[in-house]
Amino acid sequence: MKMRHICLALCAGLALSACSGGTEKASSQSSTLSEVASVIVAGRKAKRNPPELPTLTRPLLDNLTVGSLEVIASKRAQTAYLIPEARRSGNLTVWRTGGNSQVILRDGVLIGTKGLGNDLASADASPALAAVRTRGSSAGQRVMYIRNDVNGVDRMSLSCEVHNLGAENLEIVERSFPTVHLREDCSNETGKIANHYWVDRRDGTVWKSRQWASPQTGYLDIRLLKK
Amino acid sequence: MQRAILRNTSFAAAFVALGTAAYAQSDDGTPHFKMPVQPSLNLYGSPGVIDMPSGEALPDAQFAVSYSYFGGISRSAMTFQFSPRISATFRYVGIRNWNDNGFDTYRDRNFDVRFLLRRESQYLPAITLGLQDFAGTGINAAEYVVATKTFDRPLSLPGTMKVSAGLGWGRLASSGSIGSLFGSNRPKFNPNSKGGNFATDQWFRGPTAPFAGIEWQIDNRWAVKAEYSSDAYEPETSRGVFTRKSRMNFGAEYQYSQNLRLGAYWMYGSEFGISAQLQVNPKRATTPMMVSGPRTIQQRPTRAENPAAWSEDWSTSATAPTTIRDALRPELEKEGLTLEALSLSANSAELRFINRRYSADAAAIGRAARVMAMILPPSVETFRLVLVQNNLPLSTVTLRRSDLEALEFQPDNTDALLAVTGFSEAAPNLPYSVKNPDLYPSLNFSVGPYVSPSYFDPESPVRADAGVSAEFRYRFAPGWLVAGEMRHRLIGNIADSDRFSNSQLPRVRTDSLRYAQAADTTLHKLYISKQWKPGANTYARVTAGYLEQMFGGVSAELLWKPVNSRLALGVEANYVKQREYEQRFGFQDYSVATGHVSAYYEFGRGYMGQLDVGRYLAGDVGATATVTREFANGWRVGGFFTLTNVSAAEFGEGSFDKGIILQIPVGWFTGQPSKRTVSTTIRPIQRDGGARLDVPGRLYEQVRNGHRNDIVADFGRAWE
Repeated sequence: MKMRHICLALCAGLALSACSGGTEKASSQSSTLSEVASVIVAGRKAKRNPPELPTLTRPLLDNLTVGSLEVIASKRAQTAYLIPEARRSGNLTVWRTGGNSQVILRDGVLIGTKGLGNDLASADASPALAAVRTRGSSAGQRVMYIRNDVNGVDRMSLSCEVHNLGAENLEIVERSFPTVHLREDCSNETGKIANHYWVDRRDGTVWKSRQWASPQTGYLDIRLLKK
Repeated sequence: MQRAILRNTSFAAAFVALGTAAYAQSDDGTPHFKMPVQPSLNLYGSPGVIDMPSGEALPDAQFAVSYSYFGGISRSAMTFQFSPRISATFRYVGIRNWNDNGFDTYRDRNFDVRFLLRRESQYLPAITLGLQDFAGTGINAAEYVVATKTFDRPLSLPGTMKVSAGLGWGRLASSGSIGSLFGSNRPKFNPNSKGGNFATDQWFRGPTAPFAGIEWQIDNRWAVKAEYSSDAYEPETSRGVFTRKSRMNFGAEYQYSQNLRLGAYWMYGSEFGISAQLQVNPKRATTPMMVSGPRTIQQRPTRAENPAAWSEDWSTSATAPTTIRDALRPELEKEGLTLEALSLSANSAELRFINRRYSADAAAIGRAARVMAMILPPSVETFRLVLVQNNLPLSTVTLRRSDLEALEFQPDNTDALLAVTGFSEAAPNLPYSVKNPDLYPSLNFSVGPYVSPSYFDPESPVRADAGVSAEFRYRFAPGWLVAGEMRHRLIGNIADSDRFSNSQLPRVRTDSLRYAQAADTTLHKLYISKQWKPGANTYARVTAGYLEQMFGGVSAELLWKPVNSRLALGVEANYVKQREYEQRFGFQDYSVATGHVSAYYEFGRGYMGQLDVGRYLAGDVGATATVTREFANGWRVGGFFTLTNVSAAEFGEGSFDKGIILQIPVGWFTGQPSKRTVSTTIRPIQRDGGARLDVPGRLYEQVRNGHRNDIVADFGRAWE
């Protein structure tokens, strides 16, 4: 028993104290052990010190010099505030976190995620896009392309109908917006989802939405805090 | 005893570590990708009831590790579902209180294969044919045909019920026989035979007996099982290992997590039994890969908007290439890529670079293309990306910049980009290029722990040495490498064995105990090598020095592998001398010229074959056949066997050399991009016949990863 403890302590100590230098990454035992150890340590640290979230106030938002998007990944109970990484024609915005996880919205409709694991690689969200643009109903096929664990992309096809649930006054941090509430019901033989969009009646901005990203990520609750 | 505890504890620790891993499961009714049902295993580690097999197959590619114990009999097994219908199992069994044939505890290795003859349908059962322990000494030798039918909500009860019934031969016909179907002359089990040959003379011979079992999976966690066994355990009960009082077995199992299942059993009316079953699937990572997002493809202004930006005048400037190179380098480094050379013209650019971070080369290509789109002048439309592996330019991947701009946010951009991507040969040298001046010399070193295991010593099945290892790799010019490793053993019990070699052949591998006993501090490796690309589709390597623990000498290799070909051919020649046991600089008297001609073939869908024909370390002549199944994420499972002109008698126990290859990518556990893998080769027994030199840096694996089929398999990560 004693020998075992010595051995375990020794191995743990060595794995953590393993040192290396240079740019090349050899697949040797010691370098592999130290890589795994460092990932575990980093993961623990991140868990112990979750990022502090700001208290949102209107003055705080008004003073921001860049856009801001609040994203809550409900399945992991994580909240993040994202800034624009890039904007493209066709009202497309790539939003990113400090750690460069990304949420990609076209007209406010989710068409991609990056850095979350088993990401939404791309999407044909025609039914939702048509409904958001017209602020009305629509129907059709939604196709989601989702990354798998063998470096490929799996295709998931869903039949969708978008319903207009009527006008709603939406409040986001002390400011209210005249919106239309749209609900997109999608299903295939394995299950169903419901996405929600609150679309500004004046210019079509999606101020708030709840959108399903992938089986792994689940729903994202998104609020546009600043354009 | 202490060792037994150590062994069992580490085994349990590994189980729990993996057992806690969970993966995406749809429990909220949202859409998901269907996962095949995962059957439970029996005490032999095959899909089954308790001691009897069932007719189901594991999900394709499933990898299962299991341990069971009852009545003094332990079984550790590893099963791989090689294809949807074919699975293979390797098992190590120990039977305590054998006290016969010169063994206290009888230990043996088994190989099984199973074929799924038909899948379950609405009304008809799944049927499997199995050969158990078909090539060893045959302690567990049996053949069976078994059918299993699943009933959901049986008799209005909750859960799922599985009913299995089958016919067994051999061990599975030792109790309750109903006669012989295919001849009655089955040779008896002989504990002292050498094993290793296919026991075709006994398959399906002798008496046959029926067996049956039932499994009721009550909810997501709990299941109960009962079975009628046709195994009399004659070799065990006759030697007093345990007393068999009943033909019936009963058990309960608990699904601790998606991966881990634990069971407890009442066996043969007299013994308590336990099992732990771990099932993982290479296609589903324990932690999904999380790569921080890339920079968005920089859009060029349109020609009409800004004609000046599209000017090609820059290309006449003498300083443009170096300026652009210096702008590219730091941006590439941020992505874990190193620029090796760059050539530019007004409309095209070729970037040669080293991928240091991503296991998927497609990811490296995508990131490099994004950096090029950010920095290169708008007039450059064609990007040629060449991955370089230690001075070997592997292939040219050609992308059009306007495709990258147009497709980035399109649905199904992976297939769309692949359709317009070109793959072609990379020339050995890139003329008129600017090179990275800081590549050489480069020194890499690491100091850390090592563990060196040794399996299947009958006295102590798992032995290990551990200590500190110091390594360095020094590159002083393109393709040149000086590398070495020193080890200092701090703790271990490999040297405690007293099983010295009894080999009749030159002791090229069986003297490992003498090597282990000779010294604590050893020079594990020290060599110099040079690799280069001599011409189109060919790759070359020469290596000299202390190549491995037991041999030093010179080695030369030439490989032919076109970028778009499934076939590769190689030739390797070595002249080596056996190293002294102390593993310093000296040699022993034995020297040998050894070498092989090799053919490598990619069958598709990850199945790979390799055939090596040549002369082995002991001077024997023959061939090695290897079949592996590989996954784009880096998992690799396979097996090999070698037949040479050494007779089974000369070879000794096992009759011929064979083994299992297992490689798991580190990123599959950590979810972080990494090129590192953990790999091992498990031989049931290491003898001297059919032994190959272990030369570092063989070419095929280095080259293939950067060729068309591998990049295409990884292409889902090109945009990541």
